[in-house]
Amino acid sequence: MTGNDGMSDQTPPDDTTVRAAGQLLRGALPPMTFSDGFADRTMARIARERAAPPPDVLRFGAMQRNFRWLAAAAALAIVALGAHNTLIARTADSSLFEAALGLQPVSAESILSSSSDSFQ
Amino acid sequence: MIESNDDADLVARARKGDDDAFRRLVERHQAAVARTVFGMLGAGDDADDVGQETFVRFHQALDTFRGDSSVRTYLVRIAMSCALNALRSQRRRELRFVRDDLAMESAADPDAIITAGDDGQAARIRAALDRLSTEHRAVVVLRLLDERSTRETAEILQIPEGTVLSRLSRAVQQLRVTLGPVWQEFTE
Repeated sequence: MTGNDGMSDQTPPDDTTVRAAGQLLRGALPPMTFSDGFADRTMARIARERAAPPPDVLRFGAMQRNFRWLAAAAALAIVALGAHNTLIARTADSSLFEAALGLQPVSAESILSSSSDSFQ
Repeated sequence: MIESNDDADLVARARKGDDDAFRRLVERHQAAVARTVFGMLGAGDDADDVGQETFVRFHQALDTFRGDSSVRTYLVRIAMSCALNALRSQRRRELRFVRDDLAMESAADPDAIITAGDDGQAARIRAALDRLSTEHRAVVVLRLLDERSTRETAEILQIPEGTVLSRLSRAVQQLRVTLGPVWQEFTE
């Protein structure tokens, strides 16, 4: 909590006001104490938290599990896409590798024609 | 500097895993933590939970606690931070689920004298505290309720002393207006 209110025009309350205000608040509000057994509850909570793995470990475990599924799904998608390209889009003059990746056959003519198109 | 030899000794023992020593620290400082937490949040289940959270965090930070400030000041700083987090969560819950007409009314007119739902002076003063912004309430809790000096308040909230004074001035002004005759009777 940082900050500067820059309230130079406000006069701080004098000590008498501060004391009186403190007395008013402390006298009117109910006793500010925790209910009986607070120390026991706190120590029990510390013991529980000590026994449980830290949240970072839990988060890493969840990420690992999710990543396994994602990696398997991605691998399947790559294989399916490669198979699709190979079976459907393969032309006579493309290699199996080019077909799997869906690459168009490239020749000097096709490069020159595409670059001259882009200049027009 | 560490507050007292007892605290220094208890912290050293707690660092080595002595739970009895840590329990002594809890028992010794729970009153200061309670004043901060109840002052910021009011009575309720959240207050006990935030109090426990304060000591859990202190326990986790024992190895890094260097004793630059006293154990009590350090704990009050953690308590204030936990209470502010709890207030932010409360506000999010309220924004999501609750449309309390009275709360909306008081938010719309923070300077109105509290009379609605008045079931005694304590309720009125609690409502006046709750109407202060969290920044101003934090200064009121430390400076007026917990009777901390301006310097200690600045140290706990990690703000300049001038900011403590200006926030106190503004908070007192707002309490004076909100509490009306109750305030005047007591302070003037």
